[in-house]
Amino acid sequence: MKLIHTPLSIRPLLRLRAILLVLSVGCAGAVPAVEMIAHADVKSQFLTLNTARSMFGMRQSAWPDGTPVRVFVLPEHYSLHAAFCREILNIYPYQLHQSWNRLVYSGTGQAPTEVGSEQEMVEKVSNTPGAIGYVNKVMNNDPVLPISLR
Amino acid sequence: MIQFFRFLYVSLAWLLSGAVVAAQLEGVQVHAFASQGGILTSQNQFAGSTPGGAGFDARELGGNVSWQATPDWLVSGQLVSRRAGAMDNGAVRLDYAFVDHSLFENEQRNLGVRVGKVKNPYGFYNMTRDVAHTRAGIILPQSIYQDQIRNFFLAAPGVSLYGNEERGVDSLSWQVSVLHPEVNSANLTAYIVDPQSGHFNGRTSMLSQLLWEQDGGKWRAGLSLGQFDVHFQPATTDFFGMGSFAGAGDVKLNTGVLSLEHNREDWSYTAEYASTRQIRNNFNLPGALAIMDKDTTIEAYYLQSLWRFAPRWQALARYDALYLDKQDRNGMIFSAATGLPAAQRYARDVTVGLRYEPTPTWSLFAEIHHVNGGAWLSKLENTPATLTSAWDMLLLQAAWHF
Repeated sequence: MKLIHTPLSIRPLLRLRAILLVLSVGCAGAVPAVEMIAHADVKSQFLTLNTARSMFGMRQSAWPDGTPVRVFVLPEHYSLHAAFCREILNIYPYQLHQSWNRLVYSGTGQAPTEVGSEQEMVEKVSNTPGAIGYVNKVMNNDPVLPISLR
Repeated sequence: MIQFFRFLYVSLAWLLSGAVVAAQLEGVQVHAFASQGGILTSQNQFAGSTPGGAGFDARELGGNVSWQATPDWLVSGQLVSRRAGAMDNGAVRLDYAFVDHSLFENEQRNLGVRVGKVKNPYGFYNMTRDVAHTRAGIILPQSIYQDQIRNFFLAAPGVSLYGNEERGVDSLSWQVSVLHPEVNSANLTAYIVDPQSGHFNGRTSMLSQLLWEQDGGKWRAGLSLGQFDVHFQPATTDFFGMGSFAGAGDVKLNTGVLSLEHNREDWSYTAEYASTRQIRNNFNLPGALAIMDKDTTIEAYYLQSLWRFAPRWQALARYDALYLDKQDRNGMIFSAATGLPAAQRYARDVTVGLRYEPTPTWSLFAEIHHVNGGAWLSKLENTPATLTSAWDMLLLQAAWHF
């Protein structure tokens, strides 16, 4: 094997690059700031982006096995709600609220159930069959099913 | 005012009973909304203003109950009371009441049917136009969403078939309705045949809408197409003596709206263009009045920009234009034939506005309109002969919803 001699003068730069590489890999592999969760009995662990948008947009009323979808959200001004809209659904929070208003005041659909905190979100989602919601991070002992986009 | 309190009583009773039912039934939701506006016009009158004076006769109140009995069955109803000067007297009205049955649903598409009094999908805003929070400003662009004939276009008893199709990250939704327009209103009579004594009856009509949303609504495009048929029956007393209409007549409105919207984080841009062919039969107006009975193409469009410049704040800028006869945009031919002001036939409105949301349930609005023409002003509030062409309007509104 042929060893390549590296001049001493550029070794600090290589070290810096290695550190940056480790950091960037670390960031890319980091858990996102928001995670979707569902009731533990839900059988779909993966959803397409459009299905997630349809469920949170209150346009899809049942899971594939027929269980009614029950959507839980945090209030509009919560930063976690905004992060969920942007990072998971890839839409702006105002668009989601506009679509709920269009359904609610034309009678063609219903609004999701609002919860006051992340703790309440976990409680409601774990206790309601067919429930879907989101948290900052799923804890190991949370009795919910983490949902990923496919 | 008595009607207002009566409505308050009825709606409170309705909401309370709804809440009681909600406590017992899974899947029941109750929502309500209210708004109060103040309007100041320099000349002309709009929704209770007086020329050069303020009016506070613009008010909206409503409540709805919906019951998602199963994923396939939804029952919804809404009551609304609206005061808008001489255009609307605040009487409680059944806004919609229907049963929605989902015939088929999977992750890619759904298909369903609605039976009852259903909201008319027309452009982006028609279905929720009475709820201030769903509007871009205090009043919708009047070219396409004329408040003076809103009851005619708002909702109608009938049957609707609807569906949704998901394609990648885009979605396509559609609705086709066969309906019976509710047209017997003083506003419509004034709009179509001037304030003559008589009444309208709706005939079986069609309305359809196709809406495409790209990537969760970053771009939205729509096409609404409708054919509305109404029949006018003049009152028997004194009618021939007035020498205006010779007999009963039919009006067919073939209408279409093209809608386009682009949504960004801080900005939304919306444009809609509507063309309505008005075909009139059998009125047989004599002599010079014949021009009032001519088939015309009504042209309407607006360009609108919304800027969310700070949390809870939103600014609005809009240009809105309406021409009652595309072949006579400045109204000169009409004016020469009738002696009435040309301003009755067109309206160009430049609007700037602000919206502030102190809480998620409250909104405060302010907007200024500089208008040229009076085509969307109600004849119930404005005598055509005295219409002023250039006028300004200041509107303020507080709105609440839950």
